[in-house]
Amino acid sequence: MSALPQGRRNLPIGDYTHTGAWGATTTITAGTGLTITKGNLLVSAGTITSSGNITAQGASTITAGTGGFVGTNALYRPNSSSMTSDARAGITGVSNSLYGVGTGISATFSGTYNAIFGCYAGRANTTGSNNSMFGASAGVANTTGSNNSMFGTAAGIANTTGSNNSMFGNSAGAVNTEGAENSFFGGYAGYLNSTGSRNCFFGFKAGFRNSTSSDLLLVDNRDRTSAALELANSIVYGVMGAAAANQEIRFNVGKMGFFATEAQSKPTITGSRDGNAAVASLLTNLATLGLLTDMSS
Amino acid sequence: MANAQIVFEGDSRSNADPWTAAVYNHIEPRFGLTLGYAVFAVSGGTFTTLADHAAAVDATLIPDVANILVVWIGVNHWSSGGLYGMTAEQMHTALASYCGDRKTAGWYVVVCTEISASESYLSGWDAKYKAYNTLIRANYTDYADRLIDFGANPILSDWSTYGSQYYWDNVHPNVAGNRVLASVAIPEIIGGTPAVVSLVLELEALGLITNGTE
Repeated sequence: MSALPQGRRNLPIGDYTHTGAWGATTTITAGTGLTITKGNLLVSAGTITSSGNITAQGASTITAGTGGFVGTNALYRPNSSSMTSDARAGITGVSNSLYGVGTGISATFSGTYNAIFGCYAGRANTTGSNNSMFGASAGVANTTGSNNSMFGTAAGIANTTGSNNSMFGNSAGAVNTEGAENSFFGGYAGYLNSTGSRNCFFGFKAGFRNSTSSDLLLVDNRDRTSAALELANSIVYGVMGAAAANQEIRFNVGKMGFFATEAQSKPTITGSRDGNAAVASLLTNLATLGLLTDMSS
Repeated sequence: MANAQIVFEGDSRSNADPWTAAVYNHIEPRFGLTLGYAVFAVSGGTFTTLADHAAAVDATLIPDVANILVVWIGVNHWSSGGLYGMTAEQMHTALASYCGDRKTAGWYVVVCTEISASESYLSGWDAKYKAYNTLIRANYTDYADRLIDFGANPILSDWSTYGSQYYWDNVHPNVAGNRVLASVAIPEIIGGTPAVVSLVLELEALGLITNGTE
């Protein structure tokens, strides 16, 4: 880079040559020629004839006049409440933020307050609103689903009408179509979930094999090869429901500790009960809970 | 001045702090804060070391209080040759002699049976310890006051199934195994329902309760 610009609030980035004095209008010559006025951020070659723009040169057309840019082959598509329509045909919804090639390109995009970032993220969205989709193909098939948060490449990629889902991680909830109110955190978490709802899966491939079951809680960190083994081997397995009496939780562990006590293997109780019915009942019930193995006599 | 004391004598398993301390901590409330506690048992302990310690052990006797001596010895006599080649009968004779002398000296003697261990590590041990235990059970009242029958416990009599209760050598009980030792020993010393003692110790180890029992 030669001869840095020294005035008038211009920031050129890329190969260029500055000729002449810096003034109200300063000419910077790049490989393909570049002319600017002032207060511009310039990336690569191009021509700007007004002030206050950020621009880039590439295969995409960038609409000037509202400020902002995205790099080569990407789109910046402002859509504010003050606008009745986006520069792109088909978007009638307001207060959407769409960044990336193919974002929100449905012909009938009327959803509002969506934040969509990433190649083809939210591509098919029609009436879906209040969605946050971040990552290539995140929520790409979503049409009417609303209030979803999908972060990560292909997160919620197949979701169509499911709403109120939170899917974080590469391919999290990728197969989900109509399932709603799910919380999937971790790469491939809830990957095969299709219509299951209100599931909470935490960790890499947690609940990977579940498809239609709902109200499950799973904490795991690997593929268990089957849905049944996920329930049996995830470190935490639970079933949630409206009433506490209908909820359950299980810890699939070899050792446990409570109140900051070092984890212990499942204890075995030996010795005589001496005919004490209360002791016998207590031991039997604790064994049923899985807290101990009763070998007393 | 302690108003009671408990002393442990024997080998490396007899001096394992987890179970001897658990016994002490469980028994101590029964006697107040002046319960004495000493461990003479040493790693590699045999009847020879017991004889060597005898005078020192007797020297700790406190007049007119409960002096409890817990004796658990035998495992270092498993292999062939010399002293270590003692038969079960010879081991029992030595045990009876040592315990009888301590009882005469004034101790309340509590004698322990042996436990299962790895045959690969202690060749011939299974048959020998069972024979040794049979002799102890049949005769301990001749030379001791109480019997702690570790060898009758379903866990301590089956290392192959309950190897998780042993250290890597499959000879020495680990921390979990020491809780089992304590749960067997405590009721024999202070009375009570063995299953309850075992339950209390295990729930305490899990952190589910604080053991305030006496």
